[in-house]
This record gives sequence, structure tokens and C-alpha cells, in this order.
Amino acid sequence: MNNIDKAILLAEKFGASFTNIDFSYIKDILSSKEYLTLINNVKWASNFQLEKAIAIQDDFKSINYDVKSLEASIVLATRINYLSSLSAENYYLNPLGKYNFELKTNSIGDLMLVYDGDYHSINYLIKDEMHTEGFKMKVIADKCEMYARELVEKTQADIALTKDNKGIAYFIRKTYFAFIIRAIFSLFAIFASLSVFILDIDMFNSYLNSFPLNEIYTYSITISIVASVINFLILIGIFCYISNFFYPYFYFKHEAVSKSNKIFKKVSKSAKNLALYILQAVRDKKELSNDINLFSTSFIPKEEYLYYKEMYSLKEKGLYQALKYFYLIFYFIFLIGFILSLIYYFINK
Amino acid sequence: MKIEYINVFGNLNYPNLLELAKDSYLYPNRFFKFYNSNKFQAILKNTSQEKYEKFLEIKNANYIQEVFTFKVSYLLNPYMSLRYQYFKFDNYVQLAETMLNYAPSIDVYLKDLLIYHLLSEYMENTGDFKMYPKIYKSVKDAEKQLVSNQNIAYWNLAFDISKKENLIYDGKEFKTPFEFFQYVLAIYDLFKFSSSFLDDCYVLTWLERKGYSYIVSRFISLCRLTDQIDTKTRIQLADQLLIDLKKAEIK
Repeated sequence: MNNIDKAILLAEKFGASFTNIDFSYIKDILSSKEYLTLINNVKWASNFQLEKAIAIQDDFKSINYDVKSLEASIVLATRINYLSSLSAENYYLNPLGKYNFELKTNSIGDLMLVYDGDYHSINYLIKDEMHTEGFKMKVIADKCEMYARELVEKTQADIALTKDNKGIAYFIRKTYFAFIIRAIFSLFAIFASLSVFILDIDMFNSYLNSFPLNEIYTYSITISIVASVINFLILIGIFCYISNFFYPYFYFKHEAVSKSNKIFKKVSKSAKNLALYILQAVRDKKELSNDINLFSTSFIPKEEYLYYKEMYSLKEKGLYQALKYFYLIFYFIFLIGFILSLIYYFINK
Repeated sequence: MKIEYINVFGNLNYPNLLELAKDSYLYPNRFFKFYNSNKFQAILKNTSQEKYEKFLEIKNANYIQEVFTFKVSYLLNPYMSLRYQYFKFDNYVQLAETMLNYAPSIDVYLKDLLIYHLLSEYMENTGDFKMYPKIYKSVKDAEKQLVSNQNIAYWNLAFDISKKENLIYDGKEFKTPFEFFQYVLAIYDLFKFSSSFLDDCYVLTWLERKGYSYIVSRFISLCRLTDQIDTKTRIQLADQLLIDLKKAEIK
């Protein structure tokens, strides 16, 4: 903010009007280097599933561009400058994480931390001669502990999204319960069809021995047997489909817990080694370079824990819908055959 | 009886030290040289041993030239009206009005009266601190305020003593902030005003006195914050550029 802006800001507070001064603050702000940097940084930050990276994106989304006074536009510009200054990758990057793309930060030494009340790089801390080694050790230890905690909490939160997700558990239970109901009906249809071969009833014996084409029961029994078999096959198809669909959930639920315990131990060890590595550089007074991936541990792939969002989409899957409809259609056909057979049986008894 | 005149320089001759002291403010540089001369010290020693010892104290204190000349002249003649560096005031209100007439510029000599505590010392030596207790209190309050901001202290003193409530700016008088800022927003005056108002603090002091200290302090905080963040952002952008260059070199 230059002195003229400051003068106008003060004048504005006392109601003075600016008819002969042209304002283009919003245009200037939105075309400023700082704003363009911020946009690029926010776009880049969306590649990271880290707390601070997500916070930057949220802060950017919450910027209000509707300014009606100079003070508001100055506050907006200041906010943009502030976000821009803290949105670069080296402010939020966690060196213990593993990333499947090339990072902008080259070295652990370029990572920023709060040192002596302000943000400075780790290389600055290494070279600083105003503070004792003990002071630096505390800062480094706190930072590495923060890195480890961030990864552990992130992994725990990701797992909890699936493992502890009551909504998904309820949905899966509901789906299997509906399947069980269908299975009961299907089994009834199968047993009803099997009864033709088991029960010693004249109508069934006649059907099996002579298959009289002039009798209605021939057709009704045939229809009910065929429909019940097709219905049962469709039921098997539904079971295979939903099991396949829900398999990743069960796999993740089981595997994630055991995988995560290994990750937690690995992260903890890496954090300790990272702290020692930086401390050694402090003692040697040697700046760090080219070492950003030295302490990476593995992440659980994003796809594995984001798929939980897919679970609810089962309802919209075309094949699943088709299977359910065909199940109903063939069950209805079975019922027609079954009822007709029953009617014929009771009429001719 | 023949009076022996004391020659300071050229044809400036004085019958005694009392009369000599009265003109110190008119020729400060010449009198400074004279007060430092052996001739003067010899005259003073012969006139009064007590004053001579006090003079030595002043000399050993290593004051700046203007303050030294002032203190010595009042050692010689404690009861003359207030005079300093070409300025002569018959009363305190005149001093305050002179300060305001220069506004928004601060006269460095008038400021010396405050920052070197010359005004309070003068009032104590002449007994005016008893005759004008309110003015004396204003002076002491301004001296305390010097620690936080010398310019605000200066203007507060001027307003307190003159009892003026309106703002005098470039010879014009303004009753309300709105009136003043409407005037300032004409482009020419805006540039002139904006280049100095934060340094001289004249208008800011007046606004505080009018009861707008909350607005002024919020304004100053906002300015400081934006300046800090602007600086940080520039540094961060520069650092980022360095990191990108380093990375490009490695590739």
C-alpha cells in the first residue's frame, strides 16, 4: 500500500468522497503478481492430501471479492499477499510422505518452519549464528514430531473414513439384507419347483411321465420351474455382483489396519532419522540440498481409501438395476405358473 | 565612570553580560564561538565564581551547539523572555501559535525546546511553572510522550497551549475532518499531504484530539500490517524464485 492509498484510506474513514479519483483496485489486485502466484500455488496444493495444503485451498475459496470501499480492498489485497506468502509448497510439504509426482522443492533445507517468531527455511536455521544448538535442536525435534504426527493422523483419518464409516456399514448391511430376503423367496421358488420331482401327486407324475401338451398344468409347471431356475441364477448373479462391488471395502478394512501399524512404525523411525540428519547439518554448518526424498515413507494409495465414496453408487449401477428387475420379472413369472398349478390342483382334486 | 564594553564580534558591543545574553538568539553561531572563548570565560570568572562553575558544568555536559548557547545565555540572564535560535516569544501562547503556523512542517528549533527539555527548564528557572501550572503540566506531559512519538508530543503541546480546536493546514483553517479531507483529495494536495502525513503526524494528532483515536489507531495498525505483509510477500517471492533457479541449475 503506498502513501497515497493510505491517505485516501484515512480520508474514506471520514466520509470524504473521491469523485475525481479513479479506482481500479480490484482489477489491480486480481492482475497482481501475488494473486497469480497464489492461484498457481493453490492449484499445486490440490495435489497434496496434507492438512496445511487443504487449509490453503479452503482459505482461498473463502476469499470474498465483493469490496465496496478502499479499506475492504486493502484488506483483500493484504489477505491475498498473506496467503500468497504462505502458499508455496515448501510451507506445507511433509518430507516423510511419498509423492508419485515431481516436487517443486528440491531439498529438506528449503522447507519452511517457524523459527525465532517468523518463518525461515531449515537452511537458514542451519546457518544462523544467533541461537544455540540446544535452541535449534528443540525447534527441529518439534518440527519432525509434527511431520510424523501429521502423517499418522492423516492415515488414521483416512482409514476411519472407511473403517468407522457407519453410513457405509449400514448401506452394506441393508444391501445384504435385501439379498437375503430375495434369496428366501428364490429358495422357496426352487423348493416349489423341486417338489414336482419329489412329491407323489398325480398331476406331477403325469407331468413327468407323459408331459401332456393338452393340459394347462403342463405349461404352468414348466413355466414355474424354468422361471424359478432363471430367477435363482439371477440371484447368484446379484450375489456375485454385490460381493465384487463391496470386496475392496472388506479388503481395506482388514488390510488397512495391519498396513497402518507398519506405516506408523516406519513414519516414527523416519522422523527420528530426519531430525538427526538435520541436527548433523547444524553441527557441520552445512546447508542441505538435493535430499527431499531421503526420508519418504509409503502412503496408502489415495485410490484405496477414496473408493468408499463409490460404495453408495451401487444403487445407480445399470447392471445391478437390470439384475434386480429381471429377478422380479422371473419371480413374477414363477408365481403365475405356481398359482395356476395350485388352482388346477385344487380344482381337480 | 567609563564602562568597559564587551565585544562579541564585529561591532556587537555590550555593557554587561545581562545585555549580551539577550542577543544570543539573534546570532547563535557567533555567540557559541564567543562563549567558548577564553575571553568570555575570563570575564565570567571575574564577574561571578558561582556562575563560572555552573558554566563549566554546562560546558562539560557536551550539549549540542544550540542547547549550549541557550543554557549559557540563560545562565547569564535567567529572567529574559523565551528566546531560541532567531525566535523570541513574549508568552507561551505565541510559541504555540508559531508552531501551528508552520504546520504541517515541524520547526526543528522549536522542537528542540521540547526534546532537550529547555522549555520546562525555562519555566522552572523563571518561576512560570507556578504562574502557569496548566501550561507547565502540558509541557511535562509532552516530554513524557517524547518516548513514544516526538512529533505527536510536539503537536499535542502546540494544541494544548494554544487551545486551538480547528486544524490549520497550509494557512487554511478546518473545523471538521470531513472538511479537511474533502480539501485534501484535490489531486495536488493529495500528493503533498500523502508524502508527509505519516511522518509529521500533525493531522493524526488533531484527529486524536477530536476524539477519533480509535479510528486513527485502527488505521495505523492496518498500515503497519499491510506494510509488513507486503515486505514478507516480496521476500517470499524472491526466495521462491531462488529455489526455482537452483532447481533449474541442478536439472
